[in-house]
Amino acid sequence: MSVETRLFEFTPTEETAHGDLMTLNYGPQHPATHGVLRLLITLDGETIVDMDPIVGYLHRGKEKEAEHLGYHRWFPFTDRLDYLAPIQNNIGFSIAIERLAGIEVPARAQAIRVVLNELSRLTAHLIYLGTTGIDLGAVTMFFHCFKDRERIFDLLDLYSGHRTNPTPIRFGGTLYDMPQKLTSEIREFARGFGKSVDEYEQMLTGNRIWYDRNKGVGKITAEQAISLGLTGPNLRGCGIARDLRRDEPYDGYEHYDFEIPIGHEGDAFDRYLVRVQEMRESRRILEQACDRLDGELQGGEILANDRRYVLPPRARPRFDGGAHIPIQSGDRHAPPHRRDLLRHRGGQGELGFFVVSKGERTPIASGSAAPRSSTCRRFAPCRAGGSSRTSSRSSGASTSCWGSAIDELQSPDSQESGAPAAKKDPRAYFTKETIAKFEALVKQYPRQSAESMPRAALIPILHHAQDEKGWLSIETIEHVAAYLGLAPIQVWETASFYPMFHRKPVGRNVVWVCRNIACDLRGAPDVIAKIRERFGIGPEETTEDGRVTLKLAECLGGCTAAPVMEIGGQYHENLTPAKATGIIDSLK
Amino acid sequence: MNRQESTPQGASDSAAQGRPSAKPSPRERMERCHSALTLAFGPGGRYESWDLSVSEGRDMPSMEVRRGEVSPTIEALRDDPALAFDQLSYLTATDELPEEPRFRLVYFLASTKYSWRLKVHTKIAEADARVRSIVSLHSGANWMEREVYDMFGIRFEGHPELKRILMPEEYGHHPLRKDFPIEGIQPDRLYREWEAARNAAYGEGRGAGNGR
Repeated sequence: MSVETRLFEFTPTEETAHGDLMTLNYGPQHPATHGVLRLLITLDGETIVDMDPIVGYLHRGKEKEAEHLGYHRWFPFTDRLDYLAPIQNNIGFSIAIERLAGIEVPARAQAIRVVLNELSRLTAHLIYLGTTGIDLGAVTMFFHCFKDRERIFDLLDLYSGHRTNPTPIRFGGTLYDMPQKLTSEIREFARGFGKSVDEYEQMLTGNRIWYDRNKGVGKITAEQAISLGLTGPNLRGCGIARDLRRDEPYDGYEHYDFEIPIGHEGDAFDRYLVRVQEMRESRRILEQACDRLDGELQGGEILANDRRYVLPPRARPRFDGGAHIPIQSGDRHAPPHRRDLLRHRGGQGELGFFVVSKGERTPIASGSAAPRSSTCRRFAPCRAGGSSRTSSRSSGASTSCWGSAIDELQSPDSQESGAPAAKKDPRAYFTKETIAKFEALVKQYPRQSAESMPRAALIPILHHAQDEKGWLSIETIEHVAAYLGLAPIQVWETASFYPMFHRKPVGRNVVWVCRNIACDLRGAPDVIAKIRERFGIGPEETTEDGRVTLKLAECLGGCTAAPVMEIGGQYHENLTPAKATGIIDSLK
Repeated sequence: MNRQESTPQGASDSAAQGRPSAKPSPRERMERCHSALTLAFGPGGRYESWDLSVSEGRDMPSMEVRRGEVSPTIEALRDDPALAFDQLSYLTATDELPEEPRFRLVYFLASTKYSWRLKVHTKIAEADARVRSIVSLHSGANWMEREVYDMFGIRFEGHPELKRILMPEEYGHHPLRKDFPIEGIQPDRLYREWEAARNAAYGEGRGAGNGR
């Protein structure tokens, strides 16, 4: 066996080798893991019963490097800890060192950091939205999110000259000042971004696929979340309003007014809503920070003036080669265990850096407590919990890196998505004749079991229901759903797909005029114009007496006799405007 | 599909009403936490008989406990309503070679109720590098203990599946120990196999990259 093969070997258990369960190796390279992650998944049909995440494919030993490189030289490495929101890592590491050494950061630098921090948060949340969208087939989301992300990169580029890994933070402040021209650009972006978030919500929040794949998926209780050490949107999605920016403020976050959105049910959908709302709050913070930068903090220092630890600003001449100034602890004979873990709120949760200094050039130990490992760990309770149908979707909503992947087709609790269907009594709602037609129909289609109704009969049944009621009201749809044992949303989405089902009241006669190319070339526009002139109705409109509704058909398939219209199942061909109005006149 | 119910808007601070509204500075928070700990563990406190020391720190107090008492201490910290350290933020170790005992295991605890933080640390000797697992107290410790085991070689007794997390299972070294070289050590067996495969493909001493 080759080395490569051995790395991926796994032993089937008794159950998976001989029972109904199947073990599936997923990753480490898979388009939907958005990174290297390997999952050993035990499946019962399409339901995940067990999952063993295997990490370490991207282990880079950064802590070891930090112990050798020293404080300043390790700074750019922090960007790469999480390339979705690099500046947040800069800030976290910087604050840890500042607190360790007792450096006071000037207020203006803090406000600049707040701007950069919130911009980074947006880039991270946008990746989550975009990639999770694309994994569920919502390709548009990806483009929209990346469009906005690109604008943020443009702003970072304007600020620092780099897009993704700018490292603009330094111990004691920031590398560059933020000129007024830039703050006005950021303010303009923030103003427009609110509308973008509304657009995202329009595309996703009420979207049936998005809803089904997120609602009730990956539920975590508040107790589980705390025990697992979850932080950030994942914790808030469980209903715990904990946010370091408010509870343990740093970088002057106490000066900003923002809300902390929380969820209620702790499922992937709540975590999605929390993130979307957080983007709106970030937008507010951005505006406030820009106002402060241009107002009370104008002209302030951006770097602490403490040369023991802080590198001189770029504009001034460097001494000692710049990057090699050792950071020194105030007291070289300090006790050996001076250790600080500072936590700061990254895009995915609390981010902590643990640094132990002995007053030497390099830290004797460092570690970073990233939010992601505890998030990743969350796979476990999800897999073993009551809702064993949890897919990695549940995690897709947790961080931007774990995309979704395994989607289940038929969710057992899809019934939840509609009103309770059992209370409707279709036999009382429809006439006896219609019910007789229904019963004749359902006999023609195969059933999954003796008790169930054939779903395939839905479309012909809808035709009959519409024939009786004239159009498909919500009530009618609910009764059809009750008759077939479906969720009302399933009937609704079928009905809304086909133009021949009317979901608004129509007149006694529905006139379909074909508008496809053959009819169009041979005079359909004149027919439509004449109808409008004669009866005062446009497409989708009904005459006042409720006699005629005009509808435009995509194609009636009567090209040889174009233009064509259809009324009550009968075709009228080779129309002229006068002929068409004549026919409509003769309708009752 | 009543999504109004789960929209977080407006509900933002309902769960936060009970929290102290004033925002204490990190220093004040540390002092409050420290006095609560002294009340519980100091002279006349509920856990007076326990052999541990509480001291102030820069942004959080720290407690030094004996190795065997890590687990009961963390349990008491979690379950005592006046302390309520219900969340494990991070668990790691430092190797302070050549000091003896060389390892120091550090637990960072957080209280979501009071917004306090605390570190609990204990010394561990290389010869007997093991400690009771706290996975049953904080399930989030699962991977962190695996990481410490992987990186430092400290064993956690009672861990549900103590195996390496980042390095290959058969890897014979612990990379974050101070005597581990920064250049790294290739896993021997895999390296030999890789070398054999490479030599078979390209001939002795040839091929792209030599892997070490």
